[in-house]
Amino acid sequence: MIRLRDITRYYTNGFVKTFVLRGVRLDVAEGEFLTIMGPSGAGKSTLLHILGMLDATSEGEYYFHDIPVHELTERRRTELHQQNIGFVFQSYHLIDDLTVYENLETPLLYKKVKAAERKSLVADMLDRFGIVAKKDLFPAQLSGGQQQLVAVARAMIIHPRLILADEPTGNLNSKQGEEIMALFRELNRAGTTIIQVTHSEKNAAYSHRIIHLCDGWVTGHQLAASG
Amino acid sequence: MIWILLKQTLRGIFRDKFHSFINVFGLGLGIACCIIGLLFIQDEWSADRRHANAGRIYRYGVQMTIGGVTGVQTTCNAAAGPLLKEFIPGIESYIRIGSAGEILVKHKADAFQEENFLWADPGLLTAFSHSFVHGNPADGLNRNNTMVLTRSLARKIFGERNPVGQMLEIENHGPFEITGVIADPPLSDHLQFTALLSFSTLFKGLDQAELFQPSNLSGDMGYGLYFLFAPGFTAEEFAAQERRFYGKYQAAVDGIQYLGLVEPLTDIRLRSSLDSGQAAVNARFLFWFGGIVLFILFLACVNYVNLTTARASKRAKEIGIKKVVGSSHGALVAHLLTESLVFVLVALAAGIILAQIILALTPLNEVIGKNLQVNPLSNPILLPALAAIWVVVGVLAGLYPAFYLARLSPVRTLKGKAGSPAAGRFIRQALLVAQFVITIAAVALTLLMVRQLDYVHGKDLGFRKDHVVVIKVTEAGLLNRVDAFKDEVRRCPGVRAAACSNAVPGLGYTGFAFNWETSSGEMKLHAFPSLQADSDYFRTMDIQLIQGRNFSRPASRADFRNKSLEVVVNERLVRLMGWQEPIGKRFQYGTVVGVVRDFHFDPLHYDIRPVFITAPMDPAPYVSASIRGDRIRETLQQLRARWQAFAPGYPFAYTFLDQRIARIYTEDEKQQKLATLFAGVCLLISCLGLFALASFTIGQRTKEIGIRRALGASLASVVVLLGRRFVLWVLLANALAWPLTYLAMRQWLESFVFRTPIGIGVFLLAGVSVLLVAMLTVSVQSIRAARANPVDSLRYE
Repeated sequence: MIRLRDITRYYTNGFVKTFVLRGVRLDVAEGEFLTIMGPSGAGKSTLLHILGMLDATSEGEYYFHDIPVHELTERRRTELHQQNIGFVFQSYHLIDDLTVYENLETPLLYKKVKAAERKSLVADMLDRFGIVAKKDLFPAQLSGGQQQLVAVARAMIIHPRLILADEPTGNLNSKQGEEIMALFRELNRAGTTIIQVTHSEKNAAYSHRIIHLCDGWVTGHQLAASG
Repeated sequence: MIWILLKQTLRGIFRDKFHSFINVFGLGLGIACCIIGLLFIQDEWSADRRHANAGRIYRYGVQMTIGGVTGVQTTCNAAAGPLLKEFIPGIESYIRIGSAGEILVKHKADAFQEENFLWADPGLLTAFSHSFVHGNPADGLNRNNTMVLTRSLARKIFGERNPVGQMLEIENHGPFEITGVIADPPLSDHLQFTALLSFSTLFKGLDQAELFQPSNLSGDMGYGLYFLFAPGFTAEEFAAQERRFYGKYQAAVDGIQYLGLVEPLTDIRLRSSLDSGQAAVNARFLFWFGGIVLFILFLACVNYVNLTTARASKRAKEIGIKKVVGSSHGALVAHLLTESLVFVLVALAAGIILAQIILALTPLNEVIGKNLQVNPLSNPILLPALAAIWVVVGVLAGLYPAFYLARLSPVRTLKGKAGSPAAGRFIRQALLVAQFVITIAAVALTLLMVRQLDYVHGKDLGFRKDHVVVIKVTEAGLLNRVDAFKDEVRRCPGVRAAACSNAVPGLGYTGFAFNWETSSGEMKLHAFPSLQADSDYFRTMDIQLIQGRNFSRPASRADFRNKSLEVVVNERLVRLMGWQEPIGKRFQYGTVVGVVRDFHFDPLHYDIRPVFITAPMDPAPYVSASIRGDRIRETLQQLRARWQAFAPGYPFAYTFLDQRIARIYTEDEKQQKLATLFAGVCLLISCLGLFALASFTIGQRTKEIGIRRALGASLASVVVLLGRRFVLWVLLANALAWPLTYLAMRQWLESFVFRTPIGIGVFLLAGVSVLLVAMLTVSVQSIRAARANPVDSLRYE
């Protein structure tokens, strides 16, 4: 599904190049649950952003289902991202001015889904994640766990083939964290590819495979306990 | 999609009430000014266009060349209308008008002093479109001694009753039958009047064939003339035929060269060629007004742009999320523009309400002499104009923030790195400085206007203007005895001196073309303004006689026939004629006996003209009395008693000369009041923007302030630190504003011949006062920020 070849990412600051990723080579198969681990500043988030097409590579090749993402125009890339990828963040990143319902609806609006279909899709999601009662509340009125639940629901609503999660349980207590991870496992079993960034061994245990990043290099591959 | 955006925008507006209020109020105020400006321009532009025949109505004027000097006047002899119509078939009808001046109207026991009566041909009601409340256009002014009232005058005299068929007694002209009542002409109409009197009454009982002869064309040129052209007949065709008219009658007139001119009714207000001075004043005022209104709108838009981009960091996260969940750059720009449009729509609503309030509750309408109203439903251009304002302001103000925000990288925004206030700061600062340049310029110009008007009021006019009472005697019977009344006035204990004259300052002169002896001794035709005043006039008015002597005796018609008139001239006339020894110089009907120092009879917009003064041959209606300043009240009572003995039953109407003169400058005062108002609005909007921006940047620096305070910085040092940058901006604005303002000032002062010098004072005063207001605005927030407990601001980090 995903093929990264010699991905390098650096930022130029004056005459100094700061490398974040160096020659990353990675293949991810459809249906996999992958964890990226590593110390702070190892380049985990940057890798995730590149995978999510939010950030461009400096060098190297990125194939998504054999489509050369590194060669696409901004517009095509947005399209590809819109159709296939859902994001979940550590700090949820819901839109404060929108209700739960409207937050879920937003990606569908950008995909230009018809109103009737939007309604049924949002209703499905609310139902599936057990947050029907919360649909008219604003993010600030929800607990962290509930907000993350909404964020996952929002990521899932476009039926993405890939979910990218950046420390999804980092702001949650352990019980809420377990719930979210269980949800990920469930989604993965239903066929969604998931790539997560985490510091937590416990969360990593939910995945099939772990890669380790350090100073921008891939330093190790490891099969996880569940795999 | 649009609904969600709408909902989100409105929620955003309510979430941050403080900034939203400043934004909506500031922009609303700008839009309100824009609406008012638009109404004003519409009103000026549509002047006289409301008449159904406006395209076919032309005003007539005469160009005369006398002794090589060419002048144009919009008045002519009453014969010109009938004669031209007979000569040129393309003229469908003519409308003559004449001012009735100050006139006394009596209804039973009530007497009313009226100023705005016009003598008019019936065409004024048929060719022009006036809506009738009572009666009808066809039989309005057809017979002698008939009149038509405006609604306001009818109400004043008769209340709500229908006065048609009633009689009014008009001073010197007998009883008039009221044949109709019409709506008051709108203020934008060129012809203003409170009542119309049938023109034919002026010549009743006289032989019209005798009266309206070509030989009379150059005499008594005191009437306005309008033509209704036949459909298709043009001004060019008129000009061609009219040249033949004077070609034919030239022989019948004197050595003056005449040329008849016409101009469309609709050109009179702004583009007149016959009375270009007034039209230029109107057009310039319009330009000035429109310009300032656009400036204010610009200021308000700047506030919007500044606040929106300054708040970018608050929005950045949302923008980032939207990109992550799949929004494209285009969709985001569209979204932000929509948001701006929604916001401007709210501001537009506020603007409409503000405009209503301003027009209804402030004296603005009175100041600009109009009756502007915001009626989006009945005013055909208002709705499209509002829509245009909406889109233009919405897009213009929204464009920069939209592209600025949509460009932000999602990766960085979600990390909280992008959209910091540093971004776009240069543009914000430049816009803020631009705002203050405009504000300082507006304040400085206003100060200059005030100074010029003070200068005008305080200028030595060459005659006494304080404590001079002017009484006008109009009724023919009384006028014959005016000298007796003058003597009575002079005998009052509080009166220093009294004199009769046929004009007073501000009324203008009557001009006459006579032959004058040149310095080389030959006689040559010159047209000079003239004043008729008796020998007491110079003493009463403190006009200094510098050469020769005063009149030795009253003048009479016999002096005219015998060419023995005594004439006093002013210095300007002596200089123009190049006389070395003015005393004894001849003119067509007499001899120069004296020279007076120049005095400003005309407004200070104009230069002093060469003037000659003769003693009155006919009774002169204005009695001027110079009274002692310490007993004004008693003296007025004495004058009233004298008047009542002299003219029983007539109201005692008097004016003070200084007030009369002040009235000449009402137009300038109007401009000055408006300028003050606009300068105030500019200052308000700019400070609103500054206030919001300051609150914002200071909010951004809360942590820094906390750290500094925790390290022991004093309150004062923090306030200085926060305020310093704003002060620098305003200083920079001053540096830019001064030269620009200087140019604008020179331009404005050019309309005055006598000008106050432009000193550094107005600039300093404007600069310092704006700076102080700005510092006050910023320091309120700086002090609050500096006084906050540093622990609170650091806790969140």
